[in-house]
Amino acid sequence: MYFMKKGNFYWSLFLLIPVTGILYNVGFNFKPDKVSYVNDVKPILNKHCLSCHGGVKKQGKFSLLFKEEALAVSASGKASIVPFHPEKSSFISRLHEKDPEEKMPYKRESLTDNEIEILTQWVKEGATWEDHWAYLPVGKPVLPNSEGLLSKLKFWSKGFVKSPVDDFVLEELNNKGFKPSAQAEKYTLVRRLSLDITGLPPTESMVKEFDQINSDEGYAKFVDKLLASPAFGEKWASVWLDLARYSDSRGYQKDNGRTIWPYRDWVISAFNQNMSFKDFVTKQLAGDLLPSPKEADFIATGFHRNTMNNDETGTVDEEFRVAAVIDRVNTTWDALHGTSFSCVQCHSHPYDPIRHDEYYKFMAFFNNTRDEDTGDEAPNLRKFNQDDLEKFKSFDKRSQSIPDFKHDFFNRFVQFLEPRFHAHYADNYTEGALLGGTQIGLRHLGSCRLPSLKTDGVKKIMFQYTSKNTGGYLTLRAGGPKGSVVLRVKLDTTSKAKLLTLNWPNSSGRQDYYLEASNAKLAGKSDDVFKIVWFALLPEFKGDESLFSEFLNLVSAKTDNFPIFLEMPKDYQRETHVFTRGNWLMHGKKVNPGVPAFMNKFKSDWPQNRLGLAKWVVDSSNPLFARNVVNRFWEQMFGLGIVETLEDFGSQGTKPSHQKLLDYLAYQFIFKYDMKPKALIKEIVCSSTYQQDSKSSKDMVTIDPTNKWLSRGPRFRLSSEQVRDQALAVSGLLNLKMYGKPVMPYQPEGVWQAVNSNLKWKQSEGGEQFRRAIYVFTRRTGPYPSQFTFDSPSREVCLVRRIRTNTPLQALVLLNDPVFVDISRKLASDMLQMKELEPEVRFSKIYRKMFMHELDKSDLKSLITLFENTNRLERSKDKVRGYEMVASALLNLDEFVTKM
Amino acid sequence: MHPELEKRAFDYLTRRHFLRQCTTGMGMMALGSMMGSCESTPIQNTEESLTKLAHLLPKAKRVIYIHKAGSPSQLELFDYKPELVKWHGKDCPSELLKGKTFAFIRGVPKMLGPQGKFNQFGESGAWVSDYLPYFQSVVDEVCFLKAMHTDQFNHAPAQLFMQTGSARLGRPGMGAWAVYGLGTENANLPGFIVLTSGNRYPEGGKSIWGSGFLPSIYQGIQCRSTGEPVLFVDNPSDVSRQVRRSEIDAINEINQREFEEYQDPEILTRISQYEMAFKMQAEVPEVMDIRDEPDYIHQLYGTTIGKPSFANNCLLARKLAENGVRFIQLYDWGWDTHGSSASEALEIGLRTKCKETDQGMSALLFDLKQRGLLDETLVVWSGEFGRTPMQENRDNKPAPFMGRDHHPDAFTIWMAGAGVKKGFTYGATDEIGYSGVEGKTHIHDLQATILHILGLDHEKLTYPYQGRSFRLTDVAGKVISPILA
Repeated sequence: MYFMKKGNFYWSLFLLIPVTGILYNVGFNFKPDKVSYVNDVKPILNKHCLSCHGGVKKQGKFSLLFKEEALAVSASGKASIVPFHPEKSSFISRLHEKDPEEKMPYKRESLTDNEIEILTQWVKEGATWEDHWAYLPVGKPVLPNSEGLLSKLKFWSKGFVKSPVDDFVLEELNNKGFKPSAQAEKYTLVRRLSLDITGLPPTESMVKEFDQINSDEGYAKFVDKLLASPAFGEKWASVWLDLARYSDSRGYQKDNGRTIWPYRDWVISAFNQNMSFKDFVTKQLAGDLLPSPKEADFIATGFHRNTMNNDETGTVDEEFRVAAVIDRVNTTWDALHGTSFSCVQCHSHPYDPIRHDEYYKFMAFFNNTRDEDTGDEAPNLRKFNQDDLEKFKSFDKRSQSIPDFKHDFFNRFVQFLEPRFHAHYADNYTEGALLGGTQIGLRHLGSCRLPSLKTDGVKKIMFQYTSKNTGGYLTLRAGGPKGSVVLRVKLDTTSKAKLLTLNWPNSSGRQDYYLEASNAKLAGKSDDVFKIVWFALLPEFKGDESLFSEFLNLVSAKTDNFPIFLEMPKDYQRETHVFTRGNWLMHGKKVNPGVPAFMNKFKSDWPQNRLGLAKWVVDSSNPLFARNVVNRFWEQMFGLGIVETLEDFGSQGTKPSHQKLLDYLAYQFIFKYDMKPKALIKEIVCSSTYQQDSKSSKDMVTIDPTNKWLSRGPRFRLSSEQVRDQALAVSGLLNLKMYGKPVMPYQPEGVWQAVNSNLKWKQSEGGEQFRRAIYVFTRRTGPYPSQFTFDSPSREVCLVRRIRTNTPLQALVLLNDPVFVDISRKLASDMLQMKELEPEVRFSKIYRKMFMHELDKSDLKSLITLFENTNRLERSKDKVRGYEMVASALLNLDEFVTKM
Repeated sequence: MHPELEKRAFDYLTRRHFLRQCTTGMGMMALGSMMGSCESTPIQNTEESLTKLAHLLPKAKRVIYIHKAGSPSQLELFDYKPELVKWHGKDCPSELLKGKTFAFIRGVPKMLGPQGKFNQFGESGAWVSDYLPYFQSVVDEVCFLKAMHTDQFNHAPAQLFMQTGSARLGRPGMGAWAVYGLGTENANLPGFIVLTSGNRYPEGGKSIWGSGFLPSIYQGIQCRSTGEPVLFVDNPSDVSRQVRRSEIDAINEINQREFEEYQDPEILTRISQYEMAFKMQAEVPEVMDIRDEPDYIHQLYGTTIGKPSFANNCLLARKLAENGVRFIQLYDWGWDTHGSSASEALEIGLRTKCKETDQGMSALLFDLKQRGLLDETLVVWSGEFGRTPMQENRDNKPAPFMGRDHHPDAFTIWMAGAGVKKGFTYGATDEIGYSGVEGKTHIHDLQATILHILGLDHEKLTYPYQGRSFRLTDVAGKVISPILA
């Protein structure tokens, strides 16, 4: 019975292809007497049992998710599973029950005899739990046996194996009785390589060069050239930016602009440098915590500053700070581990072995960054203008010569304006309020609390304030609103935010302070005595007055600000608690940073912070990271991941089609390529598997519609970025300028309508409008229409996998979007300028430029009909209209928007 | 099997056939996903998959959802509280403030009496204020829900919550769920169409009509009130429809040959999508054009040709309903009456907004009824939350105008048409309209009820994503059976 079930799918193939049908059983070492937990038992539990007895609900105190819970005594007073004894296990007997109150699954369809038999056999064999394949360490897979029966059948695939990749693919093809396809035509291959590696079509000279290549060595050299192109970084950064949820706006209601493009540029340049994924990920998670971090290392931490920031007045900053931290946790799992962690926020994972509190232990790594959902997006890296940069250098130099000068504090304060306290730090207002969420506002005799300040070593306090009326006083009291006066000062009037620095008397320890305002002239009025945007506690400044005023000037200097990560000062670390049922206001037990038990161990010599976390992620013992990365590269090139569900490597995701191949690539990536992407890409594109023709047959489309088994080459629609970039490239309009501020090509009126935002679409000019898609301004509430229509995401949260759609709106973009209309006009004018006069010749020439091969005769006929119809209908004497429509038709062909 | 259920089963099978044979890998994928990942839970039999979708008797074929972004004050329009008149100008009792957080109210605010003059109308005797004179005449078609409550008190999250069932981004809008579950009635038009007015988008942005994790074919298509009704639907001015036809013929001929060579079914999909695009180019501008409507209809709605307005959108909604669009959503911005400026004042801004929209929405109900469409169309009207019985005192200062802060605990919405009782009121608030005291209804209950009226079980309309099955109503929601007709 069991044998039959397992064999069912292959049974039909068995009838079709008798020889390989037998091979299947031999090749897979099939043992009908031993049940596999992962392959046989777990799918039944997931389907029938875990929704009531899993990570969310534990009906009858019985859960099948973890072994110790499943074997423990349940509500019945006995253990439900007794290993080796199905007859004593109520887990089994209740599957047979007739009484509807007793029968399991409760009030649902019974299990099939076959399923019951598998579970019974499993208990009989001792009810052992096995780890899910993706949680086992990456080992070196053994190449398929090249001797014996298998190799003898490979007569038809002689010469197919160019690399181990082909060995693994061929093994599965043989098992299924499928044949690989022949190598694709050169014109197809050169376009495929160029689009995959650089995101751009090949130039005419590249096509010529590739045409001369007749050896694997020559092919590999050509690949190296493509990998060295600066366009490589732009293509692969586009892929990464979906994961990083990169956007030029902040999200939520106002969706104001955000200046974080230096992070985008950092990603492009990291790919172009072939940066190891160890460094690539470490710098993004914890660049700020590296020993002596460089400016670029801070910029890299923009990865997790791409979370949304809520500027709407009246929102609670802490709520959205927590939302950002949660997003960072989820993104770290989605993007780097292909595991959805977000459901563990409220309860243990329903299907995978992740416990509720493990979510919050993991969150603790991220819970101590300085950002607090403030309107200025602090903390920022401050980029000085040339003048101020010189001043900063001189300040730095002068301060170096002063013994015991606190560089770590004052130089960092100049660079980041941190550590400081934002207005929302204050609470317990009387006669005052937090104004617009951004300023402390106190009226006459009003006060507020500055809770729990630690003042050891504090020598000065600095305020940024405004005070519009003369005669105002600021008083600071210790302990309570009527406590002893710590300091008191008469304020200068200023309507522009100004710095105020006051000496702090000697004190130590931690206590509450109270800020008090007074101005007798304002008694009974609703005017504020003063408003404070932020304040900071400074240690002793060892320099003279003039150096201090240089410091103040640098603090006030106007700068470009780029959001980055910085850690909270150690005296103000946040505690992390479990959120009961995921509610951020309901705190459960306190937790320390930690990683889930099912994953690789967190080594004791790693720091318990984000840097340690980064080391843990990129460690060779992490079972998910490398598998996840190589699967993504594979998916980009083949259109389908080896694990199809890029977003889910857990037990609910799809199983890898070629697990050994996945592990082989992951092993190579970790141990041979030092996690550098270029070598990995090269290995994949140099395989015969990649170079196959993508033609299919009616039979194969039916048997293997998605080309999961790789009996042909990849064939799927280009990404949104490639659709734009390719069209600009073939028309000669593309501007290859790299890096810098985002650009705004043509966009119809009215796409941007966010409330209370001053962001405006201002069309770029002077060739800027023809830059690659990666540089187009991305706004969360108003994504660029043509990109969005071709499935690029709005970047509100991490998107692990783009789902390709095929909609009429895409046809409308290619036919009517003025950007594409311009491109077809440019192609038409190119045709009109050719020295050949016959339209047929002109069509063929432009076609060859766009498609790298000759125009088919019947296709030419279709184009001529269109050309003549247009000229006749439009009475176009100079035939310009005809050329334009032919060009437009070419831009709309399936082959043009498809990688094949 | 009930005949209607049978018909739906048939439609469903045909649609499945369509998705499999004619549409895309996409269609196949969506369907595969509907039934759980093919790998782990293969389709057992047709019966099982049918029960997933077409298993309730539908009362409505479609929904027109009017969302007043910003949230109108229920205390000025529908929820009449004479007791609040007595409280006017007095300090808010401290027990009302304990443990509450407000968007703008700080310290102790004053209570604010109703600004409208209320009367009872129709046979049902529903209370409506003088803010809505036209609406007074259609109350007997309407079912009020007076004790609605939500979890969110800021616009963007509250709108997301109302429309997608979650305050965070990334979930599909209600219309996307409806089209995912029921498909579309008119193959030449999108199944989920969104119209906006008030010069701005709702604060929640386009995500509130997005497809979230559902395939993007289910997202709401925004028809614009100026310029092209759908982006890029118009040909460039120098391209005639005949020339376009000729171009699509050439494209499709060449693509057909491409298919014969490569056998990739995506090519066939592309061919059919180009045909669909061509049909949409004719149909969408026609449906979205109100110029051919007779004068009395323009007078009924108060529409002016060529001048975008909420009233125009009401008329368009009727035309879209006539043409078989499944879910039509109207967003009207500008209802956030804080009292911090004249346009946000209960006595000025709210009056203006009501004047601009009262006639249109009342005409829509009347017009749907006279055409027999109200029997098969559910109309829903709501904001994203309610307003406080206290006057707002932003930054703990008196406001320059009459205004109320955001209030998630109690507000009024109404429904009319297919599936709900006529001239009926469900739920009530306390004497000052601060909290629901009977018939309290949560957003998820409302969503469950809307799906129910469409013939969808909110617990069964699910989509597997990130390891679990998601639904519109998250893990909650109960159909509000007392209001069902």
